[in-house]
Amino acid sequence: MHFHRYEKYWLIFGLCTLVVFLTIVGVNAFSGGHQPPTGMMTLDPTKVDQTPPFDQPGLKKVDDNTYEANLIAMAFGYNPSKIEVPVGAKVIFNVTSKDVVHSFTIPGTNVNMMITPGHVNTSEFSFDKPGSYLVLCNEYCGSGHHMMQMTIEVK
Amino acid sequence: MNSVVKSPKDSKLSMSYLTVGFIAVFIGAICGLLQGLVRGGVIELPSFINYYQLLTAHGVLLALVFTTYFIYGLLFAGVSKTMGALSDKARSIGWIGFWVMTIGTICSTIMIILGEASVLYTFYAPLKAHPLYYIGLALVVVGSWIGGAAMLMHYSGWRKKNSGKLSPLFGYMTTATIILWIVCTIGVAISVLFQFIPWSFGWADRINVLLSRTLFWYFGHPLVYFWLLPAYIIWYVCIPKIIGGKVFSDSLARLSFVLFILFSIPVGFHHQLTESGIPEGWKFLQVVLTFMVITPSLMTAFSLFATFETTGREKGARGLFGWLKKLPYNDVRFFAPFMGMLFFIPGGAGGIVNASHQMNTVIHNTLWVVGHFHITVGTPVVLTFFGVTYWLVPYLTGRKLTPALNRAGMIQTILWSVGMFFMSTAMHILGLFGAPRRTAYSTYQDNPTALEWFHGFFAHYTTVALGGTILFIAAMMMVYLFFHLAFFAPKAENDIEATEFPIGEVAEHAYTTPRILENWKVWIGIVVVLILIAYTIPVTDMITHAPAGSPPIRTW
Amino acid sequence: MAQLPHQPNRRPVANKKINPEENQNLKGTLVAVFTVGFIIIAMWVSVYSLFLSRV
Ligand code: HEM
Ligand SMILES: [Cu+2]
Ligand SMILES: [Cu+2]
Repeated sequence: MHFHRYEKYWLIFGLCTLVVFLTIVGVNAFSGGHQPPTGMMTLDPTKVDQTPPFDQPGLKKVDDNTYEANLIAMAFGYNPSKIEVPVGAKVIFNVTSKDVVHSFTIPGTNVNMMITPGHVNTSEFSFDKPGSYLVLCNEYCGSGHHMMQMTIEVK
Repeated sequence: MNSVVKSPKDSKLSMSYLTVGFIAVFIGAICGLLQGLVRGGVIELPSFINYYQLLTAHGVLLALVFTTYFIYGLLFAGVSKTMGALSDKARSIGWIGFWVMTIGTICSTIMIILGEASVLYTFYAPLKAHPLYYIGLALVVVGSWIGGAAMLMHYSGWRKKNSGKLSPLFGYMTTATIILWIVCTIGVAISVLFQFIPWSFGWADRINVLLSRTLFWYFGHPLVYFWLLPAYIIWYVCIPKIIGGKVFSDSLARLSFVLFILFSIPVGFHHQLTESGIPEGWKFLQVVLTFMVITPSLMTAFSLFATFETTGREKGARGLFGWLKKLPYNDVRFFAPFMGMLFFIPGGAGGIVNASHQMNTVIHNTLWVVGHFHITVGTPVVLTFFGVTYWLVPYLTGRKLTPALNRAGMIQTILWSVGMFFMSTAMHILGLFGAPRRTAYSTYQDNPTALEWFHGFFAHYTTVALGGTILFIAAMMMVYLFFHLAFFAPKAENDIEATEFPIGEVAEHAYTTPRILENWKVWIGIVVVLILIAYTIPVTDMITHAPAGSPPIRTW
Repeated sequence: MAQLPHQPNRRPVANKKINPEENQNLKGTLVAVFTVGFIIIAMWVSVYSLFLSRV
């Protein structure tokens, strides 16, 4: 098989570019800690209300500046539908679904994860700017999918 | 033209596939228009139509039905052209495949129209559609296996008759496409037959959601290559002839198809990057494999430019880019695929962004993704297929692509490109701002974040609606032109007038092709190994450590 | 529709080189593919910076 000289240049350049991309995201993920959301905890999707921590959904203080938000996604909303966090707080979101597949997405941030029933998915975010943040569902979940939302008040 | 006599019986088979395909475009495009208008807040749907019902029809009819039928119509015509008429047996099998697929399509479509299957074309569990929706989809897949078997039979028959000879490039590439299709559809077939159908009938109480999604995406990514490869066949084999040039390199063309078979399958996790239950290491491994499948597309880009440049220079072009001026832009058979190629540059670049592990959280399930596949499958592939239609249909029906029809085709192509430019650009930008895909009109109770999506020019839902409207006009023109070419265009009176099926010759300077490329056992063996490496451990884990499954739910 | 005329067979006179492909002038191709490469890099870098700005 014969490659034209220029095709060799091109393929070497292309492959090097791809290797660079992979290295950047790889290092950023595996040593920088910026992995895509990958919760490994599981539960019975029909018993969410009885399973801790989702028997008491809401915000929980972990330490000084860190909070845990244990939330339930369902057709067509989240429980609770509003939480309040102080400015600068780091919030770890643990979200599961009581019924079908949903998402937990805060537009304008990197918080964007699938919520599949039977699994808990996890993502975190530091709310450095005050304001009201919209959370929406971007995975089709039924006829009210476009109404599914909650808010995070950062004060 | 005289080397292979056209078989009218094979033409009829191809035309049947194409006709169903264009009926699907007709309905699917109406849905697409309505979706764009609804999202832009231009119209409200009457109460008996649900947005998600339209979206299901749009996805199924355009992404699954149109593509598959068109591809089969084209490939049957191409193997008949390059490897001789099908045997009666192979042709009958082709017809059985056609009818099985068609029964399946009708069955699923009826369920969508009845509102019993508003689960979208991805049918993610535990949304539960009517069992007939899943059965219909299963029949489409099984029908495609039967039709695919007919083409594989034809190919192996040719090789037996011509032992020692190199197969025609078109036949080789067809075989690669069908092999890819069979290997990948096994995943979705297992899921539909053993998970969805029993569960939707109530024979099984619960379903393993993560496993069903994984089996779906094991199929879902190679699915996009099943769409792309036939377009690449046209780019590699037919375009050189249309522009008056030669195939740049036979062996590199074959090598790129082999690489597609190897690397397009063990990569489904890149659609599940933001999902729980799949460890990061396995996600990253499949991200790396995904990046490997970029290589054959880099090769294709080079081959195409090289074909254009060598042809232009043979016609006397000078300077660095003089060859660009020698291309037949006013020939729709070239112009439509060429516009498609241009869209594929940002389309492919966007695909690399999507596959980049944690960067996926920026765009996952936002409108960016919808913009992305409309400038990959929805334009490069679709405009190539439209460009093919302008010569394939008159070729099959013995008619002529008249200068007037060529001009109509040019206008149609321009409209599609302009409409897609507006719609896809707006979608990409809205997506970066977080606007969700698969979502009817919503301002989220006038939330300021959502109201932003109705401001500006490109970051505006109304631009999506505008582009969609132009696209819709182009789609209706195409459907009209298809039927016109099939039934009303003037008949070709003799061989000279007849529309040709352009098959490029290989350039004299091209090197001989290594025989290993035609040894399918080797390639299938390697792809099986790669699939096992990428999937065995995580899938075993999904089964053995599965949470309690989900009961069926209907939320529409 | 008018078909394009058949390509006359005019390979350069008696090709003596061992490697005929090196005769081909593919400079334009080289520039074109590298342009594609830079579009890929530009798009990737912009979305990656967006990702980093949102961390
Ligand atoms: C008349 C031309 C077209 C228009 C106006 C159009 C419009 C749209 C719109 C607005 C959406 C987004 C809906 C949403 O996410 O809420 C969409 C989704 C989609 N379109 Fe198109 N489209 C057109 C042609 C095509 C073609 C030719 C294909 C493929 C061959 C295609 C494949 C898809 C797919 C797969 C989806 C996603 C469905 C889903 O999310 O389940 N479209 N289209
Ligand atoms: Cu939803
Ligand atoms: Cu993919």
